[in-house]
Amino acid sequence: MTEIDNSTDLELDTTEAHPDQIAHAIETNTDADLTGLTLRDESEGVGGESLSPFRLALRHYRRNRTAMISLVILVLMVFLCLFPSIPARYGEGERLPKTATTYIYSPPSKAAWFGTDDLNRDLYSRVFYGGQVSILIGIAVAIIACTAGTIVGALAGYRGGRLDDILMRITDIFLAFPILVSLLVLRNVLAELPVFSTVMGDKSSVRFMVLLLSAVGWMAVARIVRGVVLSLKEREFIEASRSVGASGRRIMFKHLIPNAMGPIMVSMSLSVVGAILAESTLSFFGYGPNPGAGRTTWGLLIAQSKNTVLSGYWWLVVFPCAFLVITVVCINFVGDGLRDAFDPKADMSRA
Amino acid sequence: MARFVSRRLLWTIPTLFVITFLVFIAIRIGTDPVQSYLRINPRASKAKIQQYKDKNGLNGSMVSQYFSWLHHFVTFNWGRSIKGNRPVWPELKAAMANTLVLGLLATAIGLVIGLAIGILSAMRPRSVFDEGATTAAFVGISIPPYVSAILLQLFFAITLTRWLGLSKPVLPTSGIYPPGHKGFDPVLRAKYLILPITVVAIQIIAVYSRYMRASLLEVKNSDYLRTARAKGISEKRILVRHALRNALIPIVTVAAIDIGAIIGGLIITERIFQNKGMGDFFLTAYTNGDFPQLMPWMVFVVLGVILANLLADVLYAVLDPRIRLD
Repeated sequence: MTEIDNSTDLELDTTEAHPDQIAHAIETNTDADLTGLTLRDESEGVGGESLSPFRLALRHYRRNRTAMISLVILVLMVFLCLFPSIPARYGEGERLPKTATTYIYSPPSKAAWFGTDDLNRDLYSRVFYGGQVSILIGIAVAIIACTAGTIVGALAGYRGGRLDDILMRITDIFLAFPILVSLLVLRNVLAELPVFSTVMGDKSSVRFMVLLLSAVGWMAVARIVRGVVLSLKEREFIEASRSVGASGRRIMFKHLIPNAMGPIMVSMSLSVVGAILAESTLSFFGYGPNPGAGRTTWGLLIAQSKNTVLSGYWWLVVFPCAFLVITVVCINFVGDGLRDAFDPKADMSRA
Repeated sequence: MARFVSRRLLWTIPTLFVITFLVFIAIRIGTDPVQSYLRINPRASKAKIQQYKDKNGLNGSMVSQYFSWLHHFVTFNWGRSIKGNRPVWPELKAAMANTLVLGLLATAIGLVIGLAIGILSAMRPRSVFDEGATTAAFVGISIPPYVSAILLQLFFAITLTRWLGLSKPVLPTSGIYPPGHKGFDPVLRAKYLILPITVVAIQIIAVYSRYMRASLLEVKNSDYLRTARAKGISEKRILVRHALRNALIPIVTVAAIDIGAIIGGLIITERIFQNKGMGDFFLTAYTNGDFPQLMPWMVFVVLGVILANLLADVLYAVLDPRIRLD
């Protein structure tokens, strides 16, 4: 790359900055080292100080109290669920000894904080073990769907033409049906076609679920990224880059995708939520993944509780639902905070 | 306008053709009707199977099978379900009626409450009410319908009944009428509808209060509202005649699309409350691999979405004189 091309990056390209530089800049609270990352922060009214888009976003985000609280709760929840042996008091399939009054379905007590289930297993421990599978599915789907969706969406938006048409038509068809219908129909197709079934694995495996949810989830991301790229590609800095001979690939990975990072991060948070909810919905109807003998997911816990709800075992319903809803609410608040943080117009619309 | 509508209506035919073809292939691959037939009739003889295939056009390539299905569909020869061997149309019609009752009532109630909350929020942004409504809307959007449905069932069937010391649940938690009931009884029907409507309405209220708030805030910052105020028009008149009318334009079009999606059924809600609607119809047909039931269902859902989109475009042009359809 030529010197001239780099100079066109001045305004908005953040990828040139080394993380250490950013860290240093944050410490010293100056942007002297961040030449090439200057975007004057006029809305803040701080004379002379200039911030990179990412630092600006970070600053916006930190001021959003709801989003910060949600982030703290979410980090804690994800940490405890990813390492369930830390909070758990019993093993995942461990049955509690009989007591004088109950041998199964014991209500919350000192021995079992959230009560026990039909096999007298401690629900409190199982909620964390179940969360491990559910959250891992959510993260895996978000990574796969967002990577695929970003690449397809950026290509379609940048190149246009046939690829763009195909993308829009495919997504149109899926949008015509409720998401649950798309998932169920696609589930059977992927399981029946030998081409896919070797990659996808067994219909009831966790891998199958991750790939199925990704196969539907990438479309929303692709449409969002496509829209952002469509508006970005007419901007001057892209044209400048093109005029000095930057390749299409460089423009895409150095300019378009980094500048679409805000919407991509927001759709990533939405993908995690979508995947966790889709997994639990499918489990609810008996089409979810089977994580192995004695293992569980939030969806399975809720699905099993629906059969006992009318018998009055309220703890089996309330606690898994609470964990699921708290996680989803927190991710949604974080996503909303990110959207506001990355959107320079956000302050105006909220005024 | 008439030209636009008629051209769009003509376009629905090829669109339906393409989508039903793709859906036909997808379902045909995923659920083989012969396999489903064999699951229900495990001891069917070879001749019986062949007879079933001939009758339902399951011979030859996928493409020829599709055209055979299309011929049957257009001539209203919709066949019988594999499980139970009942004609498809009467059950589909009944399911559609149930779904429309539940869906339209819930949407109407949800819209009225949601829009009211949105307007109040936008009139005093950042007030305590606005912050509360925003948080509540986020929680509402985040709660999946089966969670709110189960919690409502638990509360009304068990908790409240125990508190009040009743022997029967306060509200019925499943079905449309009590078992054995015949005829139409509006009070009884309403009682059975309260919980499912609540579940659906929560989501609609949450979404539309956000839409309304955003839309009204945008209008409030517009130049024409400043002009109106500068002319000395009263605040009340500004709100009703200028702000609300303009803020409702995008809402109406979104609502039109959402109403079109009702026909696909409220799968989760209907299943939990045993409300035999389109969603429940689909799920049952899917579980049984009932191909003859699945395809007509798909056609109605696609048709609902296409017509709702057309309605949204037309409404947009009617309500907003800045937009012209040609």
